[in-house]
Amino acid sequence: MVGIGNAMLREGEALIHVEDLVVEFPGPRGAVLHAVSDVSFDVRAGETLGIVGESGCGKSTTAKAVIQMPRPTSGQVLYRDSDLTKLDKDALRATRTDLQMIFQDPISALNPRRSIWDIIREGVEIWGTHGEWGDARILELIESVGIDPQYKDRKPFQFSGGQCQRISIARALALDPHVLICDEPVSALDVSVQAQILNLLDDLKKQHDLTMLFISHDLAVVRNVSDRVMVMYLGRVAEVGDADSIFDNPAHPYTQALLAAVPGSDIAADASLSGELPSPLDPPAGCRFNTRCPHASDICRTTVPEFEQFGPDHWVACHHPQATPVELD
Amino acid sequence: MMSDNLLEVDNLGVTFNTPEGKVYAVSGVSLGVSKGEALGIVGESGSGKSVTMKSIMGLLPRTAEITGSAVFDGLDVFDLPKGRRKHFYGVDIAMVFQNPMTSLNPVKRIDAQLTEGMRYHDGLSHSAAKEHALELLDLVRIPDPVKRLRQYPHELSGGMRQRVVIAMALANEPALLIADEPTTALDVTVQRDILDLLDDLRRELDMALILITHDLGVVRDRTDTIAVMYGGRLMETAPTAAVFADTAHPYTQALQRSIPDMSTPRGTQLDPIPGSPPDLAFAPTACPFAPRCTYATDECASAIPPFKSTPSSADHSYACFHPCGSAAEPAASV
Repeated sequence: MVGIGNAMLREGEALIHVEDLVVEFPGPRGAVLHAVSDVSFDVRAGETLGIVGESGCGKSTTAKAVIQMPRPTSGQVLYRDSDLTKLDKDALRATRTDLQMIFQDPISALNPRRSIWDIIREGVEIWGTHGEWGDARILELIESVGIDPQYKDRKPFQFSGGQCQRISIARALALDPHVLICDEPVSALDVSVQAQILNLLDDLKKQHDLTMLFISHDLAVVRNVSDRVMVMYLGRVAEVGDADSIFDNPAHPYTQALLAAVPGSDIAADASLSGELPSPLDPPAGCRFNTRCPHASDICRTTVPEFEQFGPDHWVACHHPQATPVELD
Repeated sequence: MMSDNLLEVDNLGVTFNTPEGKVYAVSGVSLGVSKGEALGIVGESGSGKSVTMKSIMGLLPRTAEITGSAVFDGLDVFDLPKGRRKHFYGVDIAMVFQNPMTSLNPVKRIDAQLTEGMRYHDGLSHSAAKEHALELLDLVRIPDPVKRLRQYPHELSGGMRQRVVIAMALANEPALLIADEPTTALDVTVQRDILDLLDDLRRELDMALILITHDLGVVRDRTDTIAVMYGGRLMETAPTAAVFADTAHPYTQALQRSIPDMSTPRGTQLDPIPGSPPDLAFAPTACPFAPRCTYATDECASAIPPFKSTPSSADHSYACFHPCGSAAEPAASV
């Protein structure tokens, strides 16, 4: 999208299946803010989907709409074949224990007045011991995220940013979720600590069999953790597919511009963006990227491009894709 | 120390007196920038990179105790003659900060903010200042400058605001521009434009530039020299290429290894630096990186390593007892 169509939805079992997701917010003077428009994607069990794009592209809103926070304006979010958008409040609350989230700023994500033991145990206290989750296992969990359990009665301010992010991760895992949504989990951390958290997430993913949505603006980090990547621009998806295929053979001019912007990138500078991000209150007609795209033509200004297959698992919504498609059988 | 440097910082120390006791923010930092040169200062939060520059800009609170010296073009920065300060800050040196929104006054139009400095420093008339403001917006490549001058900061995007802030800093053609994380609050796509702009302006105006960042990638292709700081101390300074090709300090090396880049295959386990950054509440008696360093020995925990040059280059120095790269080889083999 920056297009439409659901050609990129895959056959077969998907754990999360999102179709035609639309999130709109009321803007000033009756205007409508188009935060997310017609976004479709699927995530299989055990997969990590990286979502990338500039601020304001709708990546966080998309992930939050999956857990109905807030409920999307329209569209379908299937989780294990139940449509989360149609669940009533109680059923949704119960389902959300299975989909947990960690946030960018670990310090503001934790209640400063409570001990980390209370913070991590709260979910279990509300939902009862889910499976085997007694106190002993929570201590084990604290240890498994790299915090010494003897500090369990300390409060968040007594820990560093990296340690607070570990505590957030422990809290998210206390209810044994299947899905972990990570919204910029390392952006607020010191560079020397980021790798610790990325490795921890990777280990825990294997240990707990997690499926992840990983939101980041740091392409190198996304490349490192993701199986598949979805590139978003101004509320729509530009390109989605296998991470290596997208990073090695980017076809959408916007993906190319993003990659060119990475410091030390060898992609030519003329692929970099000109102009300003248009307002989501009044997104451009046709392809939403047309105002900044070096290859835009008349059709881009009138018709929203549909998804086309570009490789075995590589889908692009562009009228003028900039790479050679991989031969498909 | 005799040198032809524009700015010469020698053995700078900054301590803060806080209710909880002293904080040793910067210790023993010596740096130099010559005319037209670009210096990158790399470090994470708490490494002392911003405090070092703020001490030169006279922006530290009164609780700060500054030791050591800083000389700019023959002037003692910490003991400026009366009446020289006005000219020094704004005309000789200018600074650009991380968040362009908080650097601009939200209730004043761009033209008022942009012309304030030149009318004050150069006594330009209203119309002459406005003329110059248009030239400046043109210089920082803001399209449609006539319209932009009449707008308020909230009407501009983050990248545009940072360009305006840079234009303000350049209004009096400073000999040295200090940019403190100028792109950290901006999107990646805008980051490159702003860094390119700073690069071009430096050449056009023959201005020295100090670029402060936490991201080694940002300074990689854009500076002549890099200084790496950690825990308030200088770890390594070298010509930019040598920092990457022949890393001497284990911290610099660990930093490079711990960050994935675009060529790292997916799923690679990263090589993290264990532990967390040091507490600066203690007077430095050892290498600040020693508790997290894989090469650390008893010596590292008991003495501050002196600054040494590598055998390959006199410009490449490091503070470590157990360096890597060519610095590790015995002198006889050189």
